[in-house]
Amino acid sequence: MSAENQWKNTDLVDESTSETTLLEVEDLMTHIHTERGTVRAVDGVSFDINRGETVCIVGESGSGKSVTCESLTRIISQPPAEIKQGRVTFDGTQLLDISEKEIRSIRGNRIAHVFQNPQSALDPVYTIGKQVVEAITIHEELEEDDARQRAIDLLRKVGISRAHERIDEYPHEFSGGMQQRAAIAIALAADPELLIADEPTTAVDVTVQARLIELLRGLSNAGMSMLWITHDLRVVAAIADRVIVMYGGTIVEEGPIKEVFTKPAHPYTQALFESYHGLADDSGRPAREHIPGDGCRFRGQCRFAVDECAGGNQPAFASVPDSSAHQAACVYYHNDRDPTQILEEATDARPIAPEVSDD
Amino acid sequence: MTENNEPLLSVRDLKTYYPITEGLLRRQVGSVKAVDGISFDVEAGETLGIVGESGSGKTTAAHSILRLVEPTEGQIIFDGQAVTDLSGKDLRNFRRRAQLIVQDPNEAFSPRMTIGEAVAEPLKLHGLSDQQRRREIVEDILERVGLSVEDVNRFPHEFSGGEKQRIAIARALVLNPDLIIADEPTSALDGRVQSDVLGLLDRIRREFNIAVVFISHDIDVVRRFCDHISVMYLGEIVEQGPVDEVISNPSHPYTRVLIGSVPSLDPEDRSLAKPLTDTIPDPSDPPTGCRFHTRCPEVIPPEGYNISHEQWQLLARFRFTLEAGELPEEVDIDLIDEPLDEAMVRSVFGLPESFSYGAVDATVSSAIEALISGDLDGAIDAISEEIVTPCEQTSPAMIEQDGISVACHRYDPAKAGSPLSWTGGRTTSPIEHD
Repeated sequence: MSAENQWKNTDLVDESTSETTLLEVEDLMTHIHTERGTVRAVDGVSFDINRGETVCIVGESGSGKSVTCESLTRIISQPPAEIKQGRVTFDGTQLLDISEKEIRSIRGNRIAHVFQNPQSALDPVYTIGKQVVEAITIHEELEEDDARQRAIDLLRKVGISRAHERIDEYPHEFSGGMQQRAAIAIALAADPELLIADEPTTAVDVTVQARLIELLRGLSNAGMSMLWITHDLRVVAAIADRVIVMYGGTIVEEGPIKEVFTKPAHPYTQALFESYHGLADDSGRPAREHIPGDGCRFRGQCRFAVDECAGGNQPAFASVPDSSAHQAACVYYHNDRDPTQILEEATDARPIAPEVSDD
Repeated sequence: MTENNEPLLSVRDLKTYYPITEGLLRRQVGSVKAVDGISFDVEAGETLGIVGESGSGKTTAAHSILRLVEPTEGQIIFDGQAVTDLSGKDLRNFRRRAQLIVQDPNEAFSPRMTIGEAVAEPLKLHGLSDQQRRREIVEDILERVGLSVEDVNRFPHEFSGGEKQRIAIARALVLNPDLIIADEPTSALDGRVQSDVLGLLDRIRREFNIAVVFISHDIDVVRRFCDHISVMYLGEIVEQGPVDEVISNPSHPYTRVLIGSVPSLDPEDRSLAKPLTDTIPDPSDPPTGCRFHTRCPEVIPPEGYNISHEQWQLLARFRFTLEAGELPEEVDIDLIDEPLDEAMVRSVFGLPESFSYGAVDATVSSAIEALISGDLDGAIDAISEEIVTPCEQTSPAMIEQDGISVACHRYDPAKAGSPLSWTGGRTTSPIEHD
């Protein structure tokens, strides 16, 4: 996908879905069993990622965004977690059905993970080089010298200067940003088709984040698909082709980045955008939020809530007016209701002005 | 309470150095100048944000003010008293009036103490022995921070991160302080919870007229919470002033880089600021003159250089990239198989065939020649002896202008450079709204 085409032509994508879809998630449900009962962390989540596309899942702590991603390749610990149901199809393979051995050959090979804390990917007792070489040779038989050269090339590719010298250093000799680059190098060792990045820039300075965003944007332009998890709408704006908004274990809105950012449609998405404005006026939002386990999970905090919002599953997706690819899981977008009053709120919440008034 | 016009907290030329020791005898061989001569005032009830990258010294500054680390030099005056002279009862009294909130609420609470005990503990330590009275105060304060009376008997692990930070605020409030030093209090929180806790802290400090020194790496959070801002780089304050003015029209090039690095909420504006070099210099051996000059996109050209800003930037980036050891590997003679040619070096650094100011051509050529022969040090010597910026020669003085203080030679009328306009590559500052 070329850079000019980053606002994807939605009609094209719809027509050719079967050819371009790399990952398809259908009705994924992951529960976490705790002493105090079962948490339905992911409660019926479906989405696709196309080849070469960068999809961001945005949500707050507890929204289920990380559990979703850790369920895809089954890296989540079971127990306490339990993947209850769903289908995850990666290039024709059912990731939830295949054996542990098979999933391991896909994980790290065709799908790689990067986490918030690079220390989780780096072992403090081995040099950076040894760890990158190991990641390379797990997937490919190479002579020692060749593997080392490949490791240097990889470190160089992720922007580590003097890689030929720094390859023999230990993780603690690297700054936080450099550690994250090394972790990305390890993730890239097998040339994955899909990179799943869970808050990869949250622990680093904004100046370092800017460079990591540029680095990952470059990898995406070179054809790699990315699933990027973040709580930060600014990072979403900087990197995503398409955005998925999660709340209470469900997806409440999804669509092309420009449309979601111009016209946030679900009341929750609007609330998220509002939190970027001034200070919360502390207008009675309780410190402990109670998220219902059925119906629209946001209804307790939504001033548009009606009886219909309760019961059953999160309301089905319906298209936001004027854009079939932009969908909200909110009853107001269903046929028999008028979303105008909610979309008027979007005018206040939206972080950017639509082009029409931009003169 | 402060009764006169003196600020509540006044910090003058504060320095805190950490010794670097070597060998068994722990002989001191140098020092990290974590905080190196900073000055600021905080009025009663006012909020000051201190921002900077990691390693800028902002947390050390916070800890020095509370004397959690001993300052090496300088004055800290709190309500007319020199904090550095306090001991015994006076120090305890100061620590009642000045409270700390830390980033990770998990570090702030003992897992074996109920929330009620944790919040009451400071009262007990400071001599309130009436248990019933303690309980009343704690219940009142928990309600003020949005929790409930029933929470007093619960343990920290039963609370979410946002709730724990509310409890930390409650515990800081319980002694009725005049100053709260909040070190990244919302950095572990996200989205609406972050916004709620910021809102709570703001409401409380207005209600009780508490001054807040707010330490954060997140300039956008500081914009939302603070009245004033101080921007720190390698132990020094480079710019300070009212937050709205500094953020909508930043003067110091470092402030501009920080703001320009925050992604815009407009997905069609994906530009990000870029310093000349990425490496933050070693704080035990900071650059001479202005400490930011090795990364500064607005570094001043030598006097008499008749050169466009773009060309000068290329030249400066060439020099500081070599010095920072960020030599691109395409031009590293040790790594490439084919012989390196001049055209390659010029294209990697974007250097033109010849500069509009021809006097630098010979210098550039000799540096490139040294690079081609594999002599990196020779290349660095060639270019850094000839191309000397005034920014590395003297430390910039703090210049005051319309309420904003900035330590940059470009703002010093006695120096060669003049201020550049701020665009950040964008039409508006990425973190402004409305």
